[in-house]
Amino acid sequence: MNEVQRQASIDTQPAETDAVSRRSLVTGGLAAVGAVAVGVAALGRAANVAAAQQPLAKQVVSADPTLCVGCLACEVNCSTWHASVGRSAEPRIRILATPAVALRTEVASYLPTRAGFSPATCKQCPTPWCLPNCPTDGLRIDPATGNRYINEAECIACGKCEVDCPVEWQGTWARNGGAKISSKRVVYDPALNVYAKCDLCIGREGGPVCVERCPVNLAIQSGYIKSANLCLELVASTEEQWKKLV
Amino acid sequence: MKSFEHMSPTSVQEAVKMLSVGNARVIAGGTDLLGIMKDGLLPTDRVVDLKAIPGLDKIREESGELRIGALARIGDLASSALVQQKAPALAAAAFAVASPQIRNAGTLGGNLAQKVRCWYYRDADRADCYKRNGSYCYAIFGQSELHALFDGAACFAVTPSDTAIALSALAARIVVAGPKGEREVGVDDFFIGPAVDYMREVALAADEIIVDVRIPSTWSAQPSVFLKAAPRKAIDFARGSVGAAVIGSPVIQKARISLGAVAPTPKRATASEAFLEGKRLDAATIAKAAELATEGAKPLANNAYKIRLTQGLVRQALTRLAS
Ligand SMILES: Cc1cc2nc3c(=O)[nH]c(=O)nc-3n(C[C@H](O)[C@H](O)[C@H](O)COP(=O)(O)OP(=O)(O)OC[C@H]3O[C@@H](n4cnc5c(N)ncnc54)[C@H](O)[C@@H]3O)c2cc1C
Ligand code: SF4
Ligand code: SF4
Ligand code: SF4
Ligand code: SF4
Repeated sequence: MNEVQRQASIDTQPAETDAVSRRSLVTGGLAAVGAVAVGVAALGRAANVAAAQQPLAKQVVSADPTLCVGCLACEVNCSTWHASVGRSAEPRIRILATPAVALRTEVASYLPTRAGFSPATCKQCPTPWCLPNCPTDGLRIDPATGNRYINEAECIACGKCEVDCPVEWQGTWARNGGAKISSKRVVYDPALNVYAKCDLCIGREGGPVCVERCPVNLAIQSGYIKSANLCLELVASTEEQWKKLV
Repeated sequence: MKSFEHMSPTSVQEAVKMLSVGNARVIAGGTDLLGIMKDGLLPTDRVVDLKAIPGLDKIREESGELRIGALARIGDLASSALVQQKAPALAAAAFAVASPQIRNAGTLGGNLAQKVRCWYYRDADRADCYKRNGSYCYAIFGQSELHALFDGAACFAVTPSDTAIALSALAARIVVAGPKGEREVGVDDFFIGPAVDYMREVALAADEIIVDVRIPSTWSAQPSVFLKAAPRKAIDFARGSVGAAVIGSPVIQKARISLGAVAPTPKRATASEAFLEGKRLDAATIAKAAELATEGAKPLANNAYKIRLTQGLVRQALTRLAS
């Protein structure tokens, strides 16, 4: 299978089988957690309770702002790869302008003037608040990895996930002169009329493209810059880790 | 060089059709494309030579506008009395391009659509930089003397075209022909940055060609200048350049200032432009406008010198416009 075919198989996979979506929560999930019968109006909150029982994502992208030089390679590559498989080209990772953040000397010795950037993306929350009120099978949890992702083919752009996601971008975006197209980690794409968020590059052979192509990561991996951790890193998604994410 | 098919259409429509197959490229003067092909930087199976299309090289005044065909040679722009009179900045920019030989072969369309001059991109051995569909930018931790102060995103190569900077200051429009006919695009939208697509510098589809460049009457015949700083005058690409045009004297109603060699596209100095509106070009105003021009610059390791260089060029350009 090539990348496009692999993607197509992800987008056409029915959610009823094993991926968790709001529909499966309503039909099976609520009973499983012993929720009392609920009216339609209360469905969202009750479903939230069910969502809280979902397994954690195995991994999440964690960023170290003290290593980031704001080159935007992560944003651009996130955008390019997703567009290449027919998904939204809105970058799902954003570089925030955070002037107070200093660069570590290991990086600052090469690029002294490029401090003050913080990469941020979806936190793959232990309780995925974005999920329960999705009226279609758009928002899903991948059974194998726990990855909370949007199947954009099913997204009807109702915007409920954006309303429900509690995680805001802290500060302005480095790109677009600071203007944000969305305040939350789920962003609206006017070009395709869908919502998009970090899906950990689901379906991509090499894993997250931002992690693979961050030039600081490459400089660390090649020994050019000394650092025990990477600038962008896939780490285990835990409650503790979640609290530390930018 | 890999073998390729050479075609010579005699009309724009025919040329556009010939471009509809994969890896087909337009060739005009060939001063850039032949080097690119020799080094294998862009896969090319077919070249569509525009030179046999009649009438695409005309420099003329039409509907009150200065209009220049895409095949007009850079040298002809530099020496054209009409261009010197209606768009002094463009004549100066054309004169600042390369050497007399290149100006005689190179065309305006080719100058606008040429590929970047990042030394890593042009190094045939570095096949994995972003611009070559790879996965790394060598400039970020490498030698970045030539690279961008603004708007870098994955790639930090700067726009190499001198004429683009003058045309941006003159609010030119580019006429593009494709399978569905012609469309016009403002020069500032014609150049696209790497945040949009790091593989392309201009908003041209593979089967589109530039046919005409138009300078609106509002800006033609206004005072305009182009200045360029390069290590060896006349044969080097700019390390900094500025195109500037103003309407109104002695009080400025409107100014357009475009900076070259500091961003992946011509970079409008919008803060300076806004500041100049309603002011007289005295020394203090000029100094402030020059300072504002580089506001927000984010240099890499080796290109911070471009900040002062560019400010100096803006100061010089505005001083000339004042007199
Ligand atoms: C040594 C050297 C020094 C130089 N110095 C400078 C300099 O100081 N300043 C500067 O601005 N430039 C400089 N140049 C670049 C030179 O000006 C360009 O190579 C020239 O203008 C390109 O014109 P051409 O007609 O030869 O284009 P080609 O080489 O024929 O084409 C260049 C590119 O444009 C595309 N193209 C050409 N015409 C069209 C069209 N009508 N529509 C769509 N696409 C088209 C081609 O497909 C190709 O990708 C230099 C070049 C050299 C070799
Ligand atoms: S979109 Fe928001 S709520 Fe959903 S997992 Fe990401 S950060 Fe959490
Ligand atoms: S992991 Fe993939 S989807 Fe998520 S931010 Fe990185 S590149 Fe984008
Ligand atoms: S690719 Fe790495 S260094 Fe560049 S902006 Fe993204 S996180 Fe920062
Ligand atoms: S600046 Fe652009 S062209 Fe140069 S090495 Fe980096 S990605 Fe390649």
